[in-house]
Amino acid sequence: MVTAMKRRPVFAVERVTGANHRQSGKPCQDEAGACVIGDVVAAAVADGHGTSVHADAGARMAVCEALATLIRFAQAMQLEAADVRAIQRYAQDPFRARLVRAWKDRVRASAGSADAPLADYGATLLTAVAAPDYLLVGQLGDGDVLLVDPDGSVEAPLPDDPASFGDETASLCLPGAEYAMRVRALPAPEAGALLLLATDGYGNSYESDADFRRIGPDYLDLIRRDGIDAVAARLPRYLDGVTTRGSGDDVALAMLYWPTVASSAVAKRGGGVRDANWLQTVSELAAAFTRRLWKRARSPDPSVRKSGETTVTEPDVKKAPGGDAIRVEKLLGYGGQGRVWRAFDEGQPVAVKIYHPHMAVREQRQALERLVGKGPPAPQFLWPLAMVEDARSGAYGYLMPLREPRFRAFEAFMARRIKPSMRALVTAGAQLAKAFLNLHAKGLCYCDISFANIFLDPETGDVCICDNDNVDITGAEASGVLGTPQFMAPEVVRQEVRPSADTDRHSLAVLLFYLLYGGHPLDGRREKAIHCFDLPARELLYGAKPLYIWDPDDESNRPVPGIHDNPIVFKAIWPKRLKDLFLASFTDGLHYPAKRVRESVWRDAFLEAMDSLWLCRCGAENFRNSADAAGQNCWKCKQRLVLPPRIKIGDSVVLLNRATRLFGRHLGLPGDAADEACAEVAPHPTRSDVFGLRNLTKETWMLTEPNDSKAEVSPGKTAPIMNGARIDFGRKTGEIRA
Amino acid sequence: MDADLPGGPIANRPLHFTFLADCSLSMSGEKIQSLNHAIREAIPHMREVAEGNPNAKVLVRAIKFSVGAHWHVAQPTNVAEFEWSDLAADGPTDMGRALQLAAEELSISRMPSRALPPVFVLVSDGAPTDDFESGLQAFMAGPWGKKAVRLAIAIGADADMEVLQRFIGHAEIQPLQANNSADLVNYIRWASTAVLQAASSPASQAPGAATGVNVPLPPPPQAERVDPGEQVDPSKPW
Repeated sequence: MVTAMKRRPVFAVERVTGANHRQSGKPCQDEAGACVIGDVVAAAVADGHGTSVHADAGARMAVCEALATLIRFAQAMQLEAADVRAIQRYAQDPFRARLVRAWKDRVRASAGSADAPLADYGATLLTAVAAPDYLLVGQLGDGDVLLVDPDGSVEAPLPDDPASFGDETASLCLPGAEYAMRVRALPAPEAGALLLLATDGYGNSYESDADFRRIGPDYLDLIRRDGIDAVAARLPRYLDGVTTRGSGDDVALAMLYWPTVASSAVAKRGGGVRDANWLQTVSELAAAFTRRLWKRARSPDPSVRKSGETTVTEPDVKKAPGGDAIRVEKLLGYGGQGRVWRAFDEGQPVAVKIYHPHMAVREQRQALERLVGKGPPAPQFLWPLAMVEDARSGAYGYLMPLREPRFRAFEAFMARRIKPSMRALVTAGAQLAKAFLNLHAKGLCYCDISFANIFLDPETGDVCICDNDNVDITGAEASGVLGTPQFMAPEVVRQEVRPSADTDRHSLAVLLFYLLYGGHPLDGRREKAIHCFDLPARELLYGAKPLYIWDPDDESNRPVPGIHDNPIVFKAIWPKRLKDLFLASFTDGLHYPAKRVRESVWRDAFLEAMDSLWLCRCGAENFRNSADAAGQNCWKCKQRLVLPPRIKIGDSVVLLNRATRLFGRHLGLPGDAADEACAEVAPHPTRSDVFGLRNLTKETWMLTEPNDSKAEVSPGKTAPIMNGARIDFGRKTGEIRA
Repeated sequence: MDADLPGGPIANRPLHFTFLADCSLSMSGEKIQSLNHAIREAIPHMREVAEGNPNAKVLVRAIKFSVGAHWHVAQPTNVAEFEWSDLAADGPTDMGRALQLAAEELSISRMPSRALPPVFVLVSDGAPTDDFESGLQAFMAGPWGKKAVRLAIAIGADADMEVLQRFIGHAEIQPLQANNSADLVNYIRWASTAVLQAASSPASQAPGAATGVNVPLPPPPQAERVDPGEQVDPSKPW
């Protein structure tokens, strides 16, 4: 929106190789970068340690990951509508930890080893993210953050580094880096203010701190006089002079200037074009910023101008037919079918998809209207909620919930850019099974289940299912495309039938296999034997001759160590019941659609797996196989697992690990209440080795101790976990074994 | 959350993506600059496609041809780290030599035993000045050459469409003719995203769709769809 744009700062960043490094032929070990997404601007500078072998790469990765994390943080805060105090809180936790983790992950991925020596990549980091309502600055290690008021006075918004000691500096590579990072959230600076982030090579070039701080009002004057673009163009020369006459060290500088109204109009014209699609997604952004990114965005280099969607007129959207206006905010993405915008419906943030006029066919509209009429089968679906019309193009579209930023692409998990816990994975499995159960119960089929449409919250295992506008529409008639062979039922690959709920069940089983085993259930020796993996190869593997990698009667397609390692590793981990369901899915189920595992059976098996989660003392997650009466060893530390207390309620037994939760389904609650948490294992307030079961319900439980004495456990109170105790939950009674 | 999770990324196969760029004298000036621009423009979008296909390890290379043919980017480079340095134009159009050079890399000994179909994008504004036939023969002699996805983009009206069509080798796929820099951006982007996606994870086709291709391709963008944000005057042909 235009009002928000007014408050968006403009930026310039630069880095130069220090005079000393130039003489010795070393690369520049400082990095700087900035980016704009919507009305958020992020900037970062980093200084790779002189002693580190890969200092330049470490600093570059620090800037890339900082920008991506800052943007993600700002997007999450937009949804939270957080005030400055909340921003400060979230910045301390979890922002700092996420930023340090992102850098470490990137370094390890880049080095190709989980044991990469982080110290070889060590760097200091200074960050800033400016949103319409706040400015958040951060600093890890040395360097300077200066905030210059419109009147020219200079302030250092961050406290001095309590850990600083002589020449030693905090660093991304050191343990506890997330705690050493200082962060401060401020209200958005007023128009005419300037923020400077500089690596220590800049400050060390001056005799005194007071001399150095004079750069603040100096830059402010220059920007006011000549504009930020002119200053940006001169920065290499300025910084070169600084290092040559001063420290001789590399220098990186980022500046954010909050323009006065007159200059923002100019900046908006230039900036507005960029942010419509200049790196729309954060993942793209992280990958794309391998070098000084601002040059691509600011310089007249033609490579920065985007093809396709550069100047898109915002649609004029109304709820159809002839309903309320929807305020469109910004473009989120576009594809072959249409564009998706972030918008507000009655003050609530939503997503609006508008079809390209040539794709807005009548059949699609009818199908959408049917979906709107049926309503979302489960909360996991980003379901079309209402039809909309674009008065400008005449095309139609629909309104749907916005995907929350906590959800990450399934592919990110497949590439292990995210690492959910096993508890999160089985939670995701249960949610997927239930979501597709409900979809099929409404007489619909998804037709194109694949991991391109599934998003995961790596912390909780919650899932989000997108692209629901093709539900119930068979793709082949419109486009000639049937789907992605690796997810398609063999009979669809062979083009014998059209997609249906039966074929969806095969696709679901493949998706669940990817979720738990990180590979494809039919990719074994036969896949390895194929040199060129093209469409005919896939049709053979997934259509004409499908064979499960663990088919008990045919060992010819076993996974190959060195290629299909994931399925081999995970085979030892998941509980038997889940393994049996996969076996049924990919033996009989491959050939007899009616024998495919029903979604409700999957769901029960995943819930049972959750109950059998068994935490080893080493912290690794295991699953109890009740069949193994002799006991089990931890997959990680190989030690014998020690059985924790457990509770038997009816037929089910739940292992009571730290933080285990009981849900409504355990206590016999029906409907939506079945998924609500009712109890959790909690430590004793003063004795950390004693655990109890905390009552999260609004009802009072009755505890019967082994000696038959009775006590009430009111809401919020905790029942001790002791052998032989019984708890009457109201509908059901549980008995504890410890 | 960084859980104790064994295993690693899913199994992948390399996907070799190679630009074959004409750097003859007639390409000098606006054409070569537009080509540099178009490729640079496409790179972030290639990265996005690669991120969405963890089963593919996208490796990018480039061959330039004018006097003879040379590797412009010899090392197969992970698309996440791929950067484009500008090509300069000078000399004749030794397209045959370029195919010979590519053919060497497609030999069974040089290619991995497991890969996705390699993709070659040939960009030219003229006619070969060397022995195109021998080059094409060498390219198509091995199994990887036959399995490769071969695309051609003609810059301007002077390109030898027949030669480009023979490189593609499928009647249903035709060379794309870029009449201005906006076209070129659209075509290079299509080749490096939609085609890259198809080679990474080909979509199954309904009966009656294109036959005889091992990687069905999505339809290319229309030439008349001019990019509204493009700074060059799209009506001005080369």
